[in-house]
Amino acid sequence: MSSFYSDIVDHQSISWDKLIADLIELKSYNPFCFKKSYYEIFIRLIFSMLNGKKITLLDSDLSEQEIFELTGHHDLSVFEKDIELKKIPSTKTALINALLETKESWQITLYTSGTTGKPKSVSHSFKSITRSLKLYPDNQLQVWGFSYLPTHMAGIQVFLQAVLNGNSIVRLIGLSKTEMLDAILEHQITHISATPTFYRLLLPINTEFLTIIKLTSGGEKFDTSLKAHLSKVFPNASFTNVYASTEVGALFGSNGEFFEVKDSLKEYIKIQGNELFIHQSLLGISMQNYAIWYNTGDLVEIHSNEPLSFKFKSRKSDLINVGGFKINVLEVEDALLRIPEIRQARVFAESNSVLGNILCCELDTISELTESEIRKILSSDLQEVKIPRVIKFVDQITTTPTGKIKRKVA
Amino acid sequence: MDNILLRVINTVLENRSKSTISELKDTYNFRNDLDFDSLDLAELTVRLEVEFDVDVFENGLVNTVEEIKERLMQKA
Repeated sequence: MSSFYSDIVDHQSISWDKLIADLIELKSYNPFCFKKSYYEIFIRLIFSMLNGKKITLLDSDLSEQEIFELTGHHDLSVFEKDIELKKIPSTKTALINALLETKESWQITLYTSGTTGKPKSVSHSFKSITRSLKLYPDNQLQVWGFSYLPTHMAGIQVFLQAVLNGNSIVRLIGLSKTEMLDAILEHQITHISATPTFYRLLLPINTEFLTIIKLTSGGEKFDTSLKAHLSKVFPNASFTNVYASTEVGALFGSNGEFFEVKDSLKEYIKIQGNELFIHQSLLGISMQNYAIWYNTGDLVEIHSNEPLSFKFKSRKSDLINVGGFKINVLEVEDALLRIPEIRQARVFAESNSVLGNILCCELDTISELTESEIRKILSSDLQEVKIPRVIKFVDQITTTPTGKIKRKVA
Repeated sequence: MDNILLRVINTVLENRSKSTISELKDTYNFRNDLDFDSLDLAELTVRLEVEFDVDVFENGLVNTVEEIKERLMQKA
């Protein structure tokens, strides 16, 4: 029987037939999806696509306060609606065909760390989210190792790539290294798409894994030494580096550090003063009221003009990349400053061999507070990944010569 | 070294409101026995670097207490 999804964390092994049976069981629709189980998220995504209904994905570790701020309600069951449901196709092929015909009315909304304050929602149509999707007429044998959160853009991309080609998905995220390697062998995984941090955590590996034929990387800078290490472990794998963001989806691919802009995209990409701009027609639908050229905040270096190719240097904004999660330091500082005992806060990154960057903060407090007390208070306001891991208590916050809070450590 | 290591590991555990340990066993696996996730491991590297001036994860992931000790000894 053909496998749809395997998950040893949730002890699930779901065939395509079981997926179809579970889809038939769903009787009502909720525009918000706030689930812990990845399978529950996948099935609701498919259900919304089949019915051409909007869906908003919420990270499963959002606090109650964050849920309230994003949706206006503490209890999301108030959004549950009985709708006239479309008939669920009874075979795998019919299901995939129906998904490929997802209606214009379908829309997916994700949250991203905005450049100011609270997370910002970005909505995509089927067309914009599947822009880089490749459909193969005959690739039933691909098995995807799933290493991203299913509520984030990269996870959705991998999910759609696998499902719309009728492939299998095997959960790797949240597994120990041994469990991951066992899963690659047991399920004969052929494709993995993950952040460089994820690959770094997988190393060192002393044996070769021959089933993997493609490794995709994105979300952070991919260094050449990592590629060399991975080539030894996965000798049959080719590498693709992808430039993608919640705002635009996946846009460029590269097999090294230089991204070449395809002819079809040439008119929609602009590099000005080393900053990368993207034409609004490529953005998610909720962002099209913005300026004609969207500033990605990414600093690039032009490699050649004809054809246009460039490499990424860094980000300009206040976003810190922690293991592929973009964290807005201003949001974290806001949360810290809501604690009455804290007078001033500076959140910054320090480079880290596990996650690329680690979130640190300096605090100037009025009265004594312990690190664990602060973390406890923050955990009701922020997702775990946004809570600084190293807290330093200082008499004065480090500032730049102009008096701004200094972000980068010297 | 054991005492410092135990203190650092317990700080990471306490900060995440996880139960601390009273004894350090070489066989402890960070993910399986101590319930560490990648954020905890990242924090551990920073705290160990402050104590020992060694980035224990510089050459890839270590899984057990014994492996951490080996890396710390190598650089000592």
